[in-house]
Amino acid sequence: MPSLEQPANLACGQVYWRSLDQLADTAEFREFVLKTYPASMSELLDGAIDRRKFLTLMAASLSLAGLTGCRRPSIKILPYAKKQENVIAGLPTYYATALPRPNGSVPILVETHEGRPTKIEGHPNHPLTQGAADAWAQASVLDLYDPDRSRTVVFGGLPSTIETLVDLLATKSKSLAATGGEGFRILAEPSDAPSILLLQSHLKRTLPHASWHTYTPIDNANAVEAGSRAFGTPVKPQYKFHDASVVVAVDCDFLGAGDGDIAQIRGFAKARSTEAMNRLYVVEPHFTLTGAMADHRLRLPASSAHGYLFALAKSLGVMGTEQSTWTPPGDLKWIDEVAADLLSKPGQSLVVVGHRQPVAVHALAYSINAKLGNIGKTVAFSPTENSEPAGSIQSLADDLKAGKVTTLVILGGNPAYDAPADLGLGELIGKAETVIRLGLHVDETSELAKWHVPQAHPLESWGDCRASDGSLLAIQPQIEPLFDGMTAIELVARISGYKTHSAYEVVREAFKSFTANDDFETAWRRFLHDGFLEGSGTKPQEVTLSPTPLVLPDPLPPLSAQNLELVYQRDSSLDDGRFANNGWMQECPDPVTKLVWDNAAALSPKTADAMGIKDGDMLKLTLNGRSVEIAALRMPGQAEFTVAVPLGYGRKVTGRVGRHVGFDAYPLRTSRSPGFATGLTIAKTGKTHKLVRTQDHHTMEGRDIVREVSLEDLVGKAEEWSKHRSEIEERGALYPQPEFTGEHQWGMAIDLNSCIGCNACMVACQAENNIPIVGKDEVALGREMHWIRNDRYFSGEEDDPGMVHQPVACVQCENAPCEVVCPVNATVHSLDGLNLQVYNRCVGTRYCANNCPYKVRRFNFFNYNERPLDQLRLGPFAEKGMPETLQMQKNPDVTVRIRGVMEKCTYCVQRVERAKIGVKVAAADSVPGKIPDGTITPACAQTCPAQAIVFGDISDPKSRVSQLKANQRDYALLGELNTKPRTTYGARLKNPNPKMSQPGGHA
Amino acid sequence: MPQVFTPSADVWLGRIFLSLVLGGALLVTCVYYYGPPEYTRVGYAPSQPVAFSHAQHVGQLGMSCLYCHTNVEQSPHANVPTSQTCMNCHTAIKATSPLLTLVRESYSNGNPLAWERIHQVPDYVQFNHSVHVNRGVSCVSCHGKVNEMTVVRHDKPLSMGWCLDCHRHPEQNLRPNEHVYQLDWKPLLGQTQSEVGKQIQQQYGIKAPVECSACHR
Repeated sequence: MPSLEQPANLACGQVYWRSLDQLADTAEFREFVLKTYPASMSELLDGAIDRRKFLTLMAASLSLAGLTGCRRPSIKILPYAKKQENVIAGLPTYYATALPRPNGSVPILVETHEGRPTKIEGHPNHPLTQGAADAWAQASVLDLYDPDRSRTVVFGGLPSTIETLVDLLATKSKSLAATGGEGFRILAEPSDAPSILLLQSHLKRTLPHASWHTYTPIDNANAVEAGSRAFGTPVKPQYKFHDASVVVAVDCDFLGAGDGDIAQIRGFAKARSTEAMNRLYVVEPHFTLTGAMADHRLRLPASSAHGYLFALAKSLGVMGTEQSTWTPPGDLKWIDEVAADLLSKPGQSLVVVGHRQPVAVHALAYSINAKLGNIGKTVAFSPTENSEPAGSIQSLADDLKAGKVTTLVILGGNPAYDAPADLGLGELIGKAETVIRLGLHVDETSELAKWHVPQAHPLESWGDCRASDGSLLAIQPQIEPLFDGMTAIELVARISGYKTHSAYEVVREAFKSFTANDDFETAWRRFLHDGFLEGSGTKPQEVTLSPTPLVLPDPLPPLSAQNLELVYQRDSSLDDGRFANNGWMQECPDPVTKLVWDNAAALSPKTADAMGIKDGDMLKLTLNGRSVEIAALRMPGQAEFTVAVPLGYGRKVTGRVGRHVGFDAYPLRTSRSPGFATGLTIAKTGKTHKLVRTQDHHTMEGRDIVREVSLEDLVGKAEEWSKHRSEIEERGALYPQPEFTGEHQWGMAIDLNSCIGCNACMVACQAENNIPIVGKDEVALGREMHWIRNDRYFSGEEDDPGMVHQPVACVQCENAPCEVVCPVNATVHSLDGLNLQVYNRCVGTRYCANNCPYKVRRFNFFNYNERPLDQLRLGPFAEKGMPETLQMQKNPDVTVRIRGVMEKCTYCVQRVERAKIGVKVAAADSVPGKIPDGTITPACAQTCPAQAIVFGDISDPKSRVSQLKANQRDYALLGELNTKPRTTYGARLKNPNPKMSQPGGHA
Repeated sequence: MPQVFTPSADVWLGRIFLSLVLGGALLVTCVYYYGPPEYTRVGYAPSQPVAFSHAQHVGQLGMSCLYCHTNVEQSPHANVPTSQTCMNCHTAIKATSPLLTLVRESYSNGNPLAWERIHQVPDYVQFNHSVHVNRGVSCVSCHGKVNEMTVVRHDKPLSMGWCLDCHRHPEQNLRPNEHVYQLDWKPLLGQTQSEVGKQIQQQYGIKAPVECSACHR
């Protein structure tokens, strides 16, 4: 008889908490966790539906239901009229293409079903992605199907036709040619795509008076500019985190949204998982994902980064730093010990600086890396692409002001929304006679333009682009433009009178310079097939530091409550605002703040308390006479007297999803200080705003949930853990165990040491498994539907805590508590150890979710797929039906769930079954063999840039997952409950410098 | 206070009770008979836009199922042929027949023919043709003798219970792979279906899954 007493809880020696409320153990927090589903029935009153109205609605819907039930619906089969090449109905086809981005494009592989792109994966063969993709790439497929995309050409606010536009472009082209392009300006996002360069040089040749300007709000221009300054030649850095054993990141979020890159994440994760583990020092103003991985983290305002780095350089003996007098607040070890650590690993260390910092700081970092002998080892410099020199947005604004511009073409971007506030571009754009705007959505910029032209999504276009390593990528259409969109290439080709107007021909033409003429067709076909050109990445260049004097940090008045620092943050969900109308990104909780459907001004708890500011208080931020209103958020780990505001929110003109969500900080951002600014003052307006955060949702109160251990304590801890595990196993189970007689026994290992908490898995899962979004109000009630969530824990002190991330999906317990309470057997075990959820059996009692200790089950409280999110409570009076384009995104291999059904992670059972069927079909008339290890990859594991998630057969001791589970760091989440989860975690390792104190309370 | 029940109450109460019982029984019988897929689906034979006869093409002319349903061995779906497939022959044979007007139109203008769907499982069921036809399950097991049908009719219930019958006792429907598309195939004289099926089951290593995830995912 197994023992019934509560099993011993393993003390983890560290206090982990999710929110300040939890740390303070406030009444609100306790009330919240008492309810598994923090919603009560009182919400029905919100909709103001009284009893009589309710009965009327019910009667109406019943009678309607009766009418439709009488006939067998006639369903049609529509076969292709002619056989389509490569299309086998029912099987996905994969094509390589790319998603262009201003700061390094992403090579991808697109899964299409009968011509519908449904899922994006990282390109498996490209060295940069190796099959991984980030959350933005995953979410791009939803942008393609966004029903709010602009559908027609708009002229002066009225719908026009593409033919009228083509005529206009032809006339314009003639008149421009006559004047040599006098008064003609193009504003685009920066691009090093060969096709765009080709058109630029054509433009320069034929229309010498025209000019091309580029702008994007967040770029790496400072790093490139510093390259030119430090080395006297235009170069940009490429970091090799894989080879760095000591990394110092100064205001640089190289793992997160700020300066992140898939290759960097993978390199860092690799260097961290080896036995000779790397050490990460992070100096930053607000918590980032990089700060969360740090062994040592220093909270420092962004404006002090220069001073810090200068002092560090001085300690390292970098030439020209002798005059520095800067001292760090409190702890001198941050200079001396860090310098000593860096010097102990010459050629294996790395100092990185983020995009926010000015050129001088980047140049300083290059000098430090040169001093440490890192150049050519952990950081290489490669030449920037030979591009036609483009004008800035500043010079365009000047030209507009001077009335020199008659025709302005704006390609993509959204300058009216995100251009520096001091330029006043909003008023200036109207000064041009003809403004033609190409954009995916009708947005703030389109409002100011006479012509708006719908843009083709990259998944609908021909094009080319370059990845961050410089390799040439092909963009090829996966589907015909849904809304008759035009590409930027076509528009420029037309207006500049290029010899061909077809984007395909222009891209082909541009590709000619990459290949010998005689075998062009072969090379071209190979390029399209592969999606990238092998060996086209930029080669590192030998650089020598030019003896330019280093710039001394400006002496700054100390920060105070009257002189705050404002830091602009690249948002992990919306980027610079381009994903504002993407529901997946809006509902994806920020990995650090856990905010959904909002942004907020983050202040440290101490600063906030001193000023009497609470979460959700509306603040008026004033900087140099400009002001905006924004909600406040107390964020642990924030530097004192700094305010961090994510950009990209508060969009006024966009689709239904993104309109009026959050607060716009661009009106404060000027061209002089685009990264951060001091001199900010804040005042409470007296109003409050409801902020929704998922940080307290699904808590597994106070147990040993995340394990963190320092490298030196690992052996001792591991023994303790294994003893604890065997104690649990001896206790036995209360219920009979299911039989596990299947051919394979599936399991998963998640390495917390690699996981950086980037959310890519969440969005990948959403795309693969047809998971709906529920909207801000429903998330507030704890009803988000994500099958995999990304738990964020703080550890240690309130002001300066550590941070750990833990992705949690259904852990597929062998002794599953959910199964025993289901009255209708809707959740049962398979022979290969999967905890199955059978939608057609589920009657929605929610007993399973209540009995699940991991809180991973999600219930469809409403018909989220069929109803608009603002009409969920209107019953039969709500509009019904999913927009057709959104239907096209759905994965046909996964059931779309309706209201009243429980759902949860299935280990991507559709992929498991596809592999099983594949083996059987291949075996035909012989006995099928086992599925080879690595054949099946769930969506989360596939996209993980850090390769933290591994899935496989745990009955095969040679499989990767078995080997990971044999690791001494492996532990079961809530193992003391003896649920025997199939997903286990690898404890996170820390590698602190013994001579310094550690974040998260380890003194 | 007047009495609630008059002397006649016995009679009318009894009648009400009896009619409730009989009515209830009738209702149960009706639902039991008309409700299951055996009644609602089996026998469904809608008329199609083009009067294609399987009896003629397969039964009399001996065409293989695979000539038209080309993807059945690779894909979950047994595709309905393209108009182009029809025209492979019908550009030469019966090239001007009025019965084929719609096919010729579809072929020339590229719009698909809208066939009436007959076999249909619910949206939460993921059936896979390829794994059945590659592993000794003939078309006839689920679709009946299509080679004898002038108008295709729904022949088997395709209900979950019916699927599971076979998944629990696959030997009743297994045959050598080379006979999968021969709808008239019968075991050799002296052998029963069970014997052949059991032998194939062993030889092919067939373990028909009965877990929920085999079809529901």
